[in-house]
Amino acid sequence: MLDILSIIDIRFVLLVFVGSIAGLFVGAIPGLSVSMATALLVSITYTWNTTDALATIMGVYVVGVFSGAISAILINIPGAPSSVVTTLDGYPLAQKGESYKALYYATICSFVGSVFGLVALWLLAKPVSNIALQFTPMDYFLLAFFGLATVGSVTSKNYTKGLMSAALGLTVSMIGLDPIMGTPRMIFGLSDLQSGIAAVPALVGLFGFSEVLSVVHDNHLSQVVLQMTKMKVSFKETLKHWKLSLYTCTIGTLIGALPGAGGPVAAFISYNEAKRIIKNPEVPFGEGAVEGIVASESSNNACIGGALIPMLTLAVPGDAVTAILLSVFYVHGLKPGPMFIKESPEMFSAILAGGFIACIALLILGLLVAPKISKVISVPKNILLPIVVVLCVVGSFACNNRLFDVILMFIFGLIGFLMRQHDYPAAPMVLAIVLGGMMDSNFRRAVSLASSTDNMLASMFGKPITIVLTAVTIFIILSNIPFVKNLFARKAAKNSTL
Amino acid sequence: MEKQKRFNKNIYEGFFFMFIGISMIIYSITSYSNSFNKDWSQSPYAFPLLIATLMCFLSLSLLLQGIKQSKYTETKKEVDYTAKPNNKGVIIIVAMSAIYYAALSLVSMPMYTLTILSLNISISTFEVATIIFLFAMLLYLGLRNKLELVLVPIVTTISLSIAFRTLLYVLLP
Repeated sequence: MLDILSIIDIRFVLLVFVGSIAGLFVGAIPGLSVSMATALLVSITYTWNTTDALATIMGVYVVGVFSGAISAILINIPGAPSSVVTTLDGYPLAQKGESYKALYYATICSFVGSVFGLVALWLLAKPVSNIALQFTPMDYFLLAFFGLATVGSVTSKNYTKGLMSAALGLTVSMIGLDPIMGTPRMIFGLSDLQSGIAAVPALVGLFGFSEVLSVVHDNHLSQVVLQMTKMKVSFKETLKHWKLSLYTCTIGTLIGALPGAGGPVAAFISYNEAKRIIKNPEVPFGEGAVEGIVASESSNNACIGGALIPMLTLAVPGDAVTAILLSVFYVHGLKPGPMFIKESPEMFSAILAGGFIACIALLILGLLVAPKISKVISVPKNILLPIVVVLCVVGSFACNNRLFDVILMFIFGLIGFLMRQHDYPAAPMVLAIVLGGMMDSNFRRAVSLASSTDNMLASMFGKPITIVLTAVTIFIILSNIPFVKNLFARKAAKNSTL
Repeated sequence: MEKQKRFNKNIYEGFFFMFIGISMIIYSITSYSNSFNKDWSQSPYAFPLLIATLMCFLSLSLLLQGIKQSKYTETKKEVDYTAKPNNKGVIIIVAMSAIYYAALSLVSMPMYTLTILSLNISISTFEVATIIFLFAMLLYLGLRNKLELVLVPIVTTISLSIAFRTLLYVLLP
């Protein structure tokens, strides 16, 4: 506790608040995403000291995830993917003239969810790190592979396309000098490719420029904003839902800790759980049930702490934003992993301190500012999109100060757009770009170590952790193969008829 | 609804990724054979080969899915005309961005610095190119208010220039 408090000073608090305000607007404006803002921030905060950069980014992350609910409630367009489920009850409630109530619940539950997730991170990071210390190179490879296999299954309706997106990301990550021997790979004579493809321009392109192209392609340039009238919501009424909130917070933290799953999946599962548990809500689900907002917002914000657990202890990001956060660490010369908390305790404290202050900022901004920003989120997209393109150019250039990164950003934007059009999710590709180097070096270390032993297979897969990771990865892959899925579905149908 | 045979797009995608996968396998094997290191466990081409093989399996899966789906695909007669895709718009935005990039990389202007209320405002290639790019984009995206058409590009560019160049010390293109 003292470690966390020692990090906090006025400058730190101010930077978290600046990040939080940026997160509030970025998350609330459809077309701007938290991932995009974080990716842009990586390049801007490149020259800052690490604590300042983390303070700002935690502010954007925590409040940005929440503020997606504002546009979900007021214009029925989720500002962030994790707020998709909030539209189901938030918008109908707003249509009844109770948009303030919907936003109030979203704020309180997001606050509870964020605090819950961060406390889980605080308590669980060290035990997970201790387990991770026993990991071999093969375990790291399998863990990253498991992450990609999972993200492929939860981000796309078609599992093959999810995995293909990850394979493309791994291919991109292999461009440049190889991490062990420094041999140039797939550079095709281009000297600019020797240093590899930087994660930032790829991320900015995949999330920023591709979003602009998608909005133009789908003609989604107009939106209607519902008016907000202030109303009183009693604290007692809010407390009625504490059990559901804590339950969905637990779901959110656990799902957040799974590599790749993230807020949208957590919110969806929590919403279904809420529907299952609460048989007779005051207002039916889908027509403005407060319980729907409670479940969705508690769980998606609890994902933040959950997603940071594998990112900090295993260097395996839980979602797209933590994948970008991982690149912030690398940019600042930090190495997340089992030794991270021991080697850089001040950075771990900075993340927690930034997260907790951002929770307070969330509460203040959510209750006082959010109800008044309906005018800002109604900024016409035909004004917003050109500015986003310029921000993408600035963000991708600022990373290495070279124009080649700008053209890479445009290329990745185009790739991201084509992927969206053909139902290939971008998240597995992002995770693969970030994890590719680590997978490559660990795979080769594992093979190299095993090749010097008598029994190569036993050396590679003989340890208990490796066996568990291999089994889990195989299970994830097999359970997503259509033939196996159909087999289980048929069995389940047979059992239910008996 | 009518049932008819149709070539599924998964088949095209399957062929495309199969081509990438096979190209990567050929690249990995030829690069490996040309390198002095003849041990796969140490080779930098082992991982690309592994991913290329995975990609080939995945593309095979896409091909099979496509063939299965194209046998009897129900083609929808009803088309949602309210959400007509704007392919032309995408091409124009990409073209505008390419011109913007070309201007940033090829045009070199001397930097002028204006000092207003102790704030340094630099005007160079980035500022001029960005104002023109924003104006063209806004015009294309349907903004017709003349005041907004002039003010939005100028205010945005100068704000970005002050924020990044002056306050955050971030280099601009």
